Amino acid sequence: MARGGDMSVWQVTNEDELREAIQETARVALVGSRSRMSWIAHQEGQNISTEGLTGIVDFRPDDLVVTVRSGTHVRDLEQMIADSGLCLGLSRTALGWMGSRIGTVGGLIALNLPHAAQNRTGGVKDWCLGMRVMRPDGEVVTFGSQVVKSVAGFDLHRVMAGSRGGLGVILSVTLRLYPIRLVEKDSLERLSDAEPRWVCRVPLAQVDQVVSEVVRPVARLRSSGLVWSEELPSELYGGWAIGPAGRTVPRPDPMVEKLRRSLKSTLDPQRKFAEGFVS
Amino acid sequence: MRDDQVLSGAAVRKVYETDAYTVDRNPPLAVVLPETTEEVSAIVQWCRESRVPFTPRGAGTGLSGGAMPALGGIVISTKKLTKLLSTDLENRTMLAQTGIANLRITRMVEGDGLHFAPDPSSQSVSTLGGNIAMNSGGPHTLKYGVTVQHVLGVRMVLSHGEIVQIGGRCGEPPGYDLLSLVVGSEGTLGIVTEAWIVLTPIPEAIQTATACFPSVREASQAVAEIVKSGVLPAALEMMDRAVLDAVQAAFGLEFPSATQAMLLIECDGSPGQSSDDLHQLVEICKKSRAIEVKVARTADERMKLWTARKKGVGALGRIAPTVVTHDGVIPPSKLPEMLEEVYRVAEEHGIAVANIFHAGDGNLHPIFCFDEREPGKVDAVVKAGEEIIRKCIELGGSVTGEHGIGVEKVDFLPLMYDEASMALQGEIRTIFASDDLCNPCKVIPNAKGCIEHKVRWRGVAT
Repeated sequence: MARGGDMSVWQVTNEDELREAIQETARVALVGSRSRMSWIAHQEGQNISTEGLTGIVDFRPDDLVVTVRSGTHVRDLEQMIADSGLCLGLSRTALGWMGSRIGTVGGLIALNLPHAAQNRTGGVKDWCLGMRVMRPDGEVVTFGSQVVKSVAGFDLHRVMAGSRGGLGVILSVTLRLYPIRLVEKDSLERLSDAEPRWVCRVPLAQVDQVVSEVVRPVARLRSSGLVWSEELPSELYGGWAIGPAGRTVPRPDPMVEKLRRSLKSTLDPQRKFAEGFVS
Repeated sequence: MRDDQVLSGAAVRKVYETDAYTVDRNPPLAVVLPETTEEVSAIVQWCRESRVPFTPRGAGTGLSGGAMPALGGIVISTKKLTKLLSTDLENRTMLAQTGIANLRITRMVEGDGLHFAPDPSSQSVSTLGGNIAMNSGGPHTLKYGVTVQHVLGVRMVLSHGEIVQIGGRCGEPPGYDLLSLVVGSEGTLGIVTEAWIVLTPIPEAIQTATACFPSVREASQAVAEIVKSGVLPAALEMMDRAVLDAVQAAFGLEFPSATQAMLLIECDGSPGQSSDDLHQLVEICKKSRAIEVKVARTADERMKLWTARKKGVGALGRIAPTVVTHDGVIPPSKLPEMLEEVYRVAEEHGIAVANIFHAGDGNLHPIFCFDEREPGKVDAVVKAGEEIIRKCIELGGSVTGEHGIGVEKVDFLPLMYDEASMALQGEIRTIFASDDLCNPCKVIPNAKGCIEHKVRWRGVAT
């Protein structure tokens, strides 16, 4: 394991090293390649990176699924499977945050940010069929399945998607793949060349209204009710937004917050994993 | 609540002792029919204070015993929770009470070019709440996804009677995802009484074809070729000869005499694209030695091609006193191997089997046809089902694709997960429910007080 001073990122190259690193650390702030840190809350704790856990575990083009280690870069994964005519459900043309083909597979899933092909392939979460996850005590558990359809047990793999490292370490994930043809084009409308700092989900009929009101809109995807912008819109019309440093709007309902706290303490009783949200 | 909202007596106890999974039975004390979320909350609070178990129930079409009152107590029926609370066509969403039938939702909005995409075979009666509990699929799941992808939010009653809203018109805001736990939880985390759902535009054009094959193996190889072709069909279904014979006897279906399996293929989208897609898939079928291909030219013809798929299970009911529909998933590329195993297992146990299923996502539904009054038959069916499920897991699949765990598969879930993973599954339940009063004995194995009851449930053949 490569370690520098306290403030640096610990790199692990296999699960045993990861387990050891987690077990000896009181507070862990999980990262991948750190390409999307602007979206994550400032995390207290030792940065441990999954970037060294790379490679395809199992690729079954005939079944449209791949199982891949979470530190694998999205671009590397797509290159490795390109000959099959398959890819992740991300737009081939959208760049930057709207396309999100940057960073690691684990990061893509842990953030679960809306993307430009959302109307064609659903959310990142919807591609996750199953996962292997390391718990705060180092134990490895599995969630979900390796097939495109399964209703066996509670869907913890979907919960891990978008959990921002706060519930456990995604070690590997089985993903549904799509024919490249399906995502060659998207319906994203770019409104500026800037990188967005906020992404908002608003009622479909209010997309244009939000775009006209927000300071510096960046892009919109009308059919999915999505608006990307540099600033937080003044009005979300009952929708929600994710922004810089883990900010989310609106504040969750207290009852929902209580259930989420309970979920956190069930999966991470010692509160070892730093959380990526600020609400 | 009014007197007519509470049902009891011997006849009621008999009707509500099972859902559509009839192997295990247990009668409730009474059935209540609340009309609002607040009434559900009041009932749940009463159950809690009186330490009486409660089991939510929609239309009772579940195929794994999810609505069976396993420890007796109260059945909370959603039969009167059928109000449409808000329709927002502009935003393609609707807020409805969960007792509403799946197909009624589509009937209400199809005039506006929209529909509710999940389409389980039971959709004419099965309820939105049941679909949410089971995370239901259907033939068009292949392209449109399962129920969880079509639910934006729910209002539900937790096991202490608290009412909570998760998500809403724009889906669940960022934060740990509770909605994904609730959808598919089989009514074990609480009772979902209202839901915001996604209304999907009806495709501009729909193209449908059937292809008949001289063997199941050739039909399943065609499925594998289609899955990897780069075309994503809206539906890809298979019916074997036993199903076709039953539909022929009941509804006069015509097919070439050498047919052993039929595929139903549907493509949708723009008129040009859907037509090109279907053409490409038809060519694959021909190359895979299909002996007859029919392409529908009109909406009427299209409905005709769906006959075997839609009427298949009902037609089987005419040829045997009892039919039990199993459910398992395998990677589609393993279909040829898996189907051979299904026929082998059925033969070994001396049970007639028919297959009618969602081939494109590898979701099998072997249907056993038998007479439950014959000694030993129920046991044989249970054993054969278990062998098939074990094979699904061996091939990298799942113990259930859409029917759920219920009581039927409680012992099978550990085939998919090791001990630590199972323990965590059990802990998840405690986030929402601090004890086992809410739909006890379902999903998670070895729940307290369930094991001794199991012997009593399985009363059919004794």
